[in-house]
Amino acid sequence: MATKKKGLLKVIILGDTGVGKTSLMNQFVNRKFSGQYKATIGADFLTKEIMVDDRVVTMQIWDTAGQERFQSLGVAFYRGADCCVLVFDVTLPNTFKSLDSWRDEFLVQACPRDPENFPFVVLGNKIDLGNAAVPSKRAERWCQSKNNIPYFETSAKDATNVEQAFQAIAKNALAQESEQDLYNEFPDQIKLTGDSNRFNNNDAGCSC
Amino acid sequence: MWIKPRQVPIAPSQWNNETQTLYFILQRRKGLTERGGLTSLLANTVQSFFDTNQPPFRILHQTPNSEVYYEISSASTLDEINKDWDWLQKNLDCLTRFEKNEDITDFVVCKVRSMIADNYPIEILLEEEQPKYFKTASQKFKTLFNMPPEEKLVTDYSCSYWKGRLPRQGCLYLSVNNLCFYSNMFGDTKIIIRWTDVRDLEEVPSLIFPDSVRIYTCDNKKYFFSIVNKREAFCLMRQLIDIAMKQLIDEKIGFTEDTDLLLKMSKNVPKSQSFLKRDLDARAVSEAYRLLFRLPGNEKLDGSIDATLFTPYNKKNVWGRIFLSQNYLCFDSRVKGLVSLIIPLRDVNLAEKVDNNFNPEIRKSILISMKNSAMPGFLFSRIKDRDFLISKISELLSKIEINEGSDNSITLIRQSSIDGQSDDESMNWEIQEPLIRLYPRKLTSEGRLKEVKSEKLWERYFIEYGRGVSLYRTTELTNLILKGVPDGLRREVWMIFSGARNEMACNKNQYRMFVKNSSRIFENTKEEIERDLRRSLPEYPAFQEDIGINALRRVLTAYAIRNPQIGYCQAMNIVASVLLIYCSEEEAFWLLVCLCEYLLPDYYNTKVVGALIDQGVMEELIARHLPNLHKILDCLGMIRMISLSWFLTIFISVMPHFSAVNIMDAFFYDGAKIIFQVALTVLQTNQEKLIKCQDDGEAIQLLTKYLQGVHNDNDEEAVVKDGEVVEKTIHVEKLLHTSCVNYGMLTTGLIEKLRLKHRLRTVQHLEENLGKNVVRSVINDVYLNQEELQGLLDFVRQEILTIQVRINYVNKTPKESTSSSLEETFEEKKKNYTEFIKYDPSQPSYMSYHVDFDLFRLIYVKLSPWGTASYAEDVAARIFRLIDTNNDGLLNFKELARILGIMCRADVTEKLTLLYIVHLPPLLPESDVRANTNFDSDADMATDALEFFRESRSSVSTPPSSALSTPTFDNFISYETASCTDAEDDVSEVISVKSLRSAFESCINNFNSKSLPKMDQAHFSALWHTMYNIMQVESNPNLTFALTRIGNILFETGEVGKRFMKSKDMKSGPKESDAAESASEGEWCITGDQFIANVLSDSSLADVFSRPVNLVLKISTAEEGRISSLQSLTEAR
Ligand SMILES: Nc1nc2c(ncn2[C@@H]2O[C@H](COP(=O)(O)OP(=O)(O)O)[C@@H](O)[C@H]2O)c(=O)[nH]1
Ligand SMILES: [Mg+2]
Repeated sequence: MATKKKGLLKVIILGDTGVGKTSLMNQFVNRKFSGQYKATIGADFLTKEIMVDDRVVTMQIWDTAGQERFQSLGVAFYRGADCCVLVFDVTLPNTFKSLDSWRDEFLVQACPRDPENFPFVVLGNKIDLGNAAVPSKRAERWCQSKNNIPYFETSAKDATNVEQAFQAIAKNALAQESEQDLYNEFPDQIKLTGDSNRFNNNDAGCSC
Repeated sequence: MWIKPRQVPIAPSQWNNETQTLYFILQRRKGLTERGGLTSLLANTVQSFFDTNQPPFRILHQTPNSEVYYEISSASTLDEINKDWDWLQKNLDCLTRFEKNEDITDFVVCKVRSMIADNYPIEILLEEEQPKYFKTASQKFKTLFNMPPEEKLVTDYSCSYWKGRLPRQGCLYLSVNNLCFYSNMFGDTKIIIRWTDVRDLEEVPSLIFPDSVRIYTCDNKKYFFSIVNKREAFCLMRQLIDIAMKQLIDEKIGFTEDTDLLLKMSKNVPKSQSFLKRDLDARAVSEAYRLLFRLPGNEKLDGSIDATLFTPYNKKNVWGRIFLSQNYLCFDSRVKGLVSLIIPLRDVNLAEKVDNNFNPEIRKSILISMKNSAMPGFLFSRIKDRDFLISKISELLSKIEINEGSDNSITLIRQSSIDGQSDDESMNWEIQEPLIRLYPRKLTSEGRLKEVKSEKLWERYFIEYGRGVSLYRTTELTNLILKGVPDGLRREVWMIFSGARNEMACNKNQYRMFVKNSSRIFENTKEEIERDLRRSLPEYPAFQEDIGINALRRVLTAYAIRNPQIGYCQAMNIVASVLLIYCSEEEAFWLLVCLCEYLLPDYYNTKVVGALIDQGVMEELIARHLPNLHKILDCLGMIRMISLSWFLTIFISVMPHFSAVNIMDAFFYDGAKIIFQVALTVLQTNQEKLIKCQDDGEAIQLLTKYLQGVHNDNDEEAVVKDGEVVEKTIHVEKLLHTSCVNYGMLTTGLIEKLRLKHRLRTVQHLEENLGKNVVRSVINDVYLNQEELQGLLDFVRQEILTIQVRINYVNKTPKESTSSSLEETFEEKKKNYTEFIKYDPSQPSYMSYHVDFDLFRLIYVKLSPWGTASYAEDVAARIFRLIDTNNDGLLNFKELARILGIMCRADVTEKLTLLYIVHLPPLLPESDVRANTNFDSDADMATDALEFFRESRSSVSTPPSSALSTPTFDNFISYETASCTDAEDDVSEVISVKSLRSAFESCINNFNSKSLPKMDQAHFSALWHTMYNIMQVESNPNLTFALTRIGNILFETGEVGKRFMKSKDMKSGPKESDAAESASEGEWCITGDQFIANVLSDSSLADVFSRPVNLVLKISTAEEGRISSLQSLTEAR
């Protein structure tokens, strides 16, 4: 981005395919749940204006494809994210186990200035199904071990906790952004020149 | 037995004619009578004595009025020769059709050669095919570059290599896996570049150095060559690189020569080039041919010839070219796009000569008549080589009949009775007819009218130009397609133009079989499909109900079973749903096959490589055609991201599907280029707005909105998204039309060329990224740093590639000619490598690379600090055993990096612990050390030890008398069992490899050497032996002295332990003498602590072990010697 708009928060949603990322995003933005979404191919995004601490900010929420073979493709737009939302399905323990690798991959590709304190939020979705296989305790323990990530149990279907979760996301992102502004003496522009080194700059990760 | 046709004298004095036809003579050697008897037996013996090579029967070929006879078959029995004779009579009755005698001979020679090829090992034939000059070059290439015998030279060019300002004149060798250059100007220059290491290749347009080619390699080196025959060399390099890249994509093993080429019935194959070069040329031509007519991937062009085609719709004769391959006869007009034909040979009834003496245009003609009367037939004229063509066609036709005869429905029935247990769901189903019949599209009255009008236009076309696959494809057809196909005809049109009709016709019943076997699907693929069924096309009512969902499930599952390499990839569900609306389930399946395998190659595989490649192509096209936009999109960093879903779903996921199908029409008709054309048009239309965008989000939003508004006036209901009616932006017909007008210059050929270029970049990029991930996944758990890990990984990767080449070679060698044991090891390996190299995203990255023992041994010898010591390989074998925790004969990259890290970087104690442990039983079995010990009485122990060391020092070159048996991997596997039996009759503690591993781990992790098992005398001397070998490399006499000293101390220590034990025994009371003796013998022991402490007590020894190792340097040295080490490894085998 040549110039990042003031008051724009970039949020990335990650998690295995089918955990409800697209549904959560739509529940938050459009306030409704519909069984009628296509599987996300490549990347998609929605924006929404919200109030945080008497400030109007625009949230730009990026939804990603979760199937493993697409994982490496989304990384181009991890950069410049203000917050990363990790989603799993409380009824499927494997989707919880994947959180580690989603988090690692994000940190590697996004190259935040301060990886230790980069804001994540974890959502355990589909709580409405009632047959949770990942106990809250277990998820909370994991979140604590990763520098106290906030954890919410949500339902995109019933809208349980969705608003609260995204409020927290916005708050954390905002905190991150103001911190970043202090450092941001040059815009983190991705300028590509010669063909031969395009890959290095573009999406092959960073040199940090 | 058929023999290679050669000219022979008729020699009537030695041979009798038995039977004779116009073209063939069967002869019997004189002196042989019909019945046996003593005389004939004698004659036989005498004959065979003088002429062992000449069997008594032969068949000659000759043409009337020709003095030349060709011997084509020979046999030692009458029965045998009659078999060949009968075959000739049955299969070569077409010879009278030829006009020229030379043609007949050519034909017969070809035929016989193809018969031979079926019966002889291919290698022998290949050998004979090579021109003499080439054999010398090939030999030179192998010696110069020390290439393994399996590395095949393709061709060589005279060439200059520019280094600094001076060109070095020399020779460029292109082989299957390498580019090599040699010059002896200004000293020897040798360059070897692997194709898999090439990062980019370009022609250099230069006035000063014309004919130049520049090559960039992965290690960021640049090479500059001027080649005399540049154009050809460049294309060949491209092709070889592409083969290397495809190999990386598919993880398929290797390149196989297409030996079918040997059998090809061509008349004038130039033999001045290597077989491989001809093979590669043929491949390139076939690829272009398949692309031109959108034919299945196994079609190989047999030949092509100029001719005119009579076009009945305008009563003209159009010049063009006939192309012939195994299953198709195609025609393309000289004027681009005027008319083309694709005639499946299975539909052909007959090909016959016709001549019309009154019409000069209908001369030297062939009439092709079809089996069904829908197409009346095709008339080609003015064919120069008509006889040859017609014989070729009949030959191909007869082959097709044979194939059709063996219908696979019989095998299918057998199959299904075997899998009788298949569950209800896969039993009770019917092929779903097009869903649109059940859920009709709601059209406006205007829309309905338009449909009817369009249907009429199409019907008229069919009447005039024919219907089915072999209709006349004209410019008018292109216009019809762009206007949109009526819903009712989509099914037929898609099937015909995509080539799916052909696939389906050739594989009857296959779809049903896949569905029947749907239980064989991988569990996780099944889950992936299940998860996406309801996320495919939920806006279409059939996909909210079982009827659509079940059909979709069957199609996707069947495809995953057909092609496990792809399995299921998101986006396939969306595409398949749309196919199901218009086509029957079985047709949808075959369309999906064509789409995944030919139209969008590699799109849906495990790395979505094909889509990535096309994004690269797209980016280049934007830069070329929309430079202003390219600059800004570049800044937004999004080019590669936006187009992904456009390509993967052919716009279905981003446009209303009733509009997107129009693009699909064009896509099936004309291939993937339409996606590029439409994508560019969309960007161009929105250019102004895009340039004003502030960030990537805004730009994407703009495009998303635009694409959702692409409409099709026919529909009654407006498109609704998130409760809002979507604003219309452009009519899809207009979009298509604009695309074709504005970007008509993007031809399939051009796209293919760009794909070639970007395939190289994309694959190298993926490899690079995978490498980075691998390094990252281990770096925290090992002692090596980033640079060392990267170096090690590159080294491993190189070696694995080399092994693949070798495996490939062995696979191709005919079974009889190689020793079976060699073959087995390779088979074994091939299995290992194909299984484990496979990229599996759910595994940690370091699992992507594995090394087997052979490779580990090489790495140990080349890279570990102890690798140069004598008997290093024995130690390597035991270390390998220690760390191969799952006993599968393979180490993953992490295990490898860890152990190498310990050897190179760890603290002295850890290194010594490792050495100590690998000299304990059962890693070092009792049987091995027993044979090795020559200490007979414990009284003489110390002196003996001294002697032993002195002896070894004086005789470095000759190994100590009773050397350890060299453990190869095979007998090494049996160690565990062997050591178990040993342990039974041994009093000493039974220690399993497993407990050694845990002792090792606890030492490394907790510095707890207390848990190390004790070591007996025999093993200790083996350990000391190894220590000695390691020190030997240092060539420092002080070290040897120190070793002797410390060795003595340790022997004493062991003695002390023994005496202590003995005295304990005494106290415990009297025992039987021999029991006491055996006990005392086993009691000599030292502990791991004692070993480590004593070695460290000598500073010169401690220094050697604590000295850091420059692994990076070692790796680069090893790389230099790679080719030669490979050679020696091969020899060692
Ligand atoms: N019961 C329930 N189902 C949900 C919930 N969220 C999503 N789903 C369903 O889970 C499936 C996958 O949702 P989707 O948002 O497409 O997942 P994504 O791949 O992470 O984007 C869909 O069938 C949704 O209807 C939820 O909170 N509760
Ligand atoms: Mg989604």
